Amino acid sequence: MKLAGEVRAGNIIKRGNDLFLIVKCEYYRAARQNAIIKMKLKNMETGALQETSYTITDKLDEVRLDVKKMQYLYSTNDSYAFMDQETFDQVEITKEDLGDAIYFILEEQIVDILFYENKAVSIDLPKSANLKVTYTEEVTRGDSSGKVTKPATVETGLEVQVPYFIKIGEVIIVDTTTKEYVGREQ
Amino acid sequence: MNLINNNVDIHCHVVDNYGDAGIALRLARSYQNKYPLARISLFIDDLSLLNLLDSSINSSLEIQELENIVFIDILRARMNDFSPAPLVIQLLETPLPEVYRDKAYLNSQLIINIEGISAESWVESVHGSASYIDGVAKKHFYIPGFTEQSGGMLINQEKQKNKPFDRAYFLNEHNLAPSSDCLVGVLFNYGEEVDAMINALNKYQKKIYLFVCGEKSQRSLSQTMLPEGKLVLIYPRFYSQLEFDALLKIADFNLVRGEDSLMQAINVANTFLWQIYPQTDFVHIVKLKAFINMAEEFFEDKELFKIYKDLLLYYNGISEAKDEEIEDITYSFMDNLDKIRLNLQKLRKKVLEKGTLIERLLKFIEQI
Repeated sequence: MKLAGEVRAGNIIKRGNDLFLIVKCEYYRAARQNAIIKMKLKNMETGALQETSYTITDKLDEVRLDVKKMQYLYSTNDSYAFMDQETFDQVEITKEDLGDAIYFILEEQIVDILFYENKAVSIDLPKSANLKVTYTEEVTRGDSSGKVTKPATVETGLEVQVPYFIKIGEVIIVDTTTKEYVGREQ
Repeated sequence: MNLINNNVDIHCHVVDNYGDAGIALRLARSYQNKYPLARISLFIDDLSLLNLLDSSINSSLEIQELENIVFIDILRARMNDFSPAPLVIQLLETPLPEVYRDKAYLNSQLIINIEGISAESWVESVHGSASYIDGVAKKHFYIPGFTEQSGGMLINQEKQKNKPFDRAYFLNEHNLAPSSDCLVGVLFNYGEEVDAMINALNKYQKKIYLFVCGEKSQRSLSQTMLPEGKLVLIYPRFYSQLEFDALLKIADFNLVRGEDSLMQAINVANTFLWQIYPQTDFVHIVKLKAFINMAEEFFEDKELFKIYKDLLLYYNGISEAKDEEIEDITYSFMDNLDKIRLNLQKLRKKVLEKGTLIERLLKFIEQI
């Protein structure tokens, strides 16, 4: 069992007798320290997509699949290609199945690829990813009262709310579940 | 969805302060108002807070029924004794006791998790969304908010019963008399230092009776040394929920905090400032900014809105203005109480156009 707040795009969960690939996780901070995660799930058997919301403390039945370390080579419009580091075999995973995981992988990076019935289905992401800021506005504290965060775009195209002091070129640590800023790379 | 009856179980875990219990009590009463014959049960883990909000609720009883609402002390009751209602409401993700939860998943029809109110844009996309539970019951998220596509605002519509809660009721208790040239205000915050604003109120042209409510505000303000001026600080006893709602109604301006007081301040339609419940990682600031953006829509006069916004930021402890500037902003705020109120009344009208939270909740259930 895993808490809903700990799973991320690419994980597989079991509900009843069905396996679901988590394609997308939208994380919303609610009142108190609560949060709601709206997930886009793909039924691994039928391919049907559905949305389900959970609180971060809901318990989910995570399924561990076979994992292989592979290198991310390139992407096309529809899919991402990965290479086995030992056999040099290549596999492709569709962009749709990777969902939000695409925001956390960089070319040539070694990633954990999950296999279901010998087919590559998703990536097992680490809890956080280090990503370079490619664009953000310069904000000086005091420019606008009360402004403590601002949007920043990182090298994978993801937009993240960051503290006002973050500058272009800095590498930030982003939580792969919440897609939120965690800190700066030291 | 057709529920087999209108009984409802409301579950509330008190995290801190009075808001959790206050909202639970308000929800139970609103529901009871709609369905007087239904069995409304409120399961809560801090009855002493309910006793503060309504002294007729006895905090020493494991279970009691008052005005057709059953109050259950969840820390003492044996949950196995209860059969869950067709509708189970979890307030702010209150966890259901395991033995009760298992029964509810199998025997209830619908479980609704009511979240905190927010003006953030995500509210509309999550409000009403389905969750998954391993059982027969369905579960949905219900997110209160300020737009048509959100869950609305929880307010009481019940009329004041016997007591005339007018200005005299509140002032006479402190040997003060209502007078047309005096203003009445309420300060109920999380104890954030607001000295610059208080100093300005003290130097304002009109006499002000300021009711300082809640121990955090009272503790904070009791440290403030005020020279003789126009401001009279009143430290009242703890008011019941009905009394506090009425106090907000008779006041000229309300400086409130938290979710429940915000909704009531909006409802009574007097000028208010709101201090949001502080959260970690700037989350409350994002929520506050969303509220400010939403409120701006109702102000045609942008200069007036700037006054309102600047003081709202100060009241939330995130203004960078100097004390002298805050004093000036406070004077402008006080000079424009009526104009600001007219704009905030538009906000109220818009939010309640599609009904109160309870009315929208019942429609939502029908449509599932």
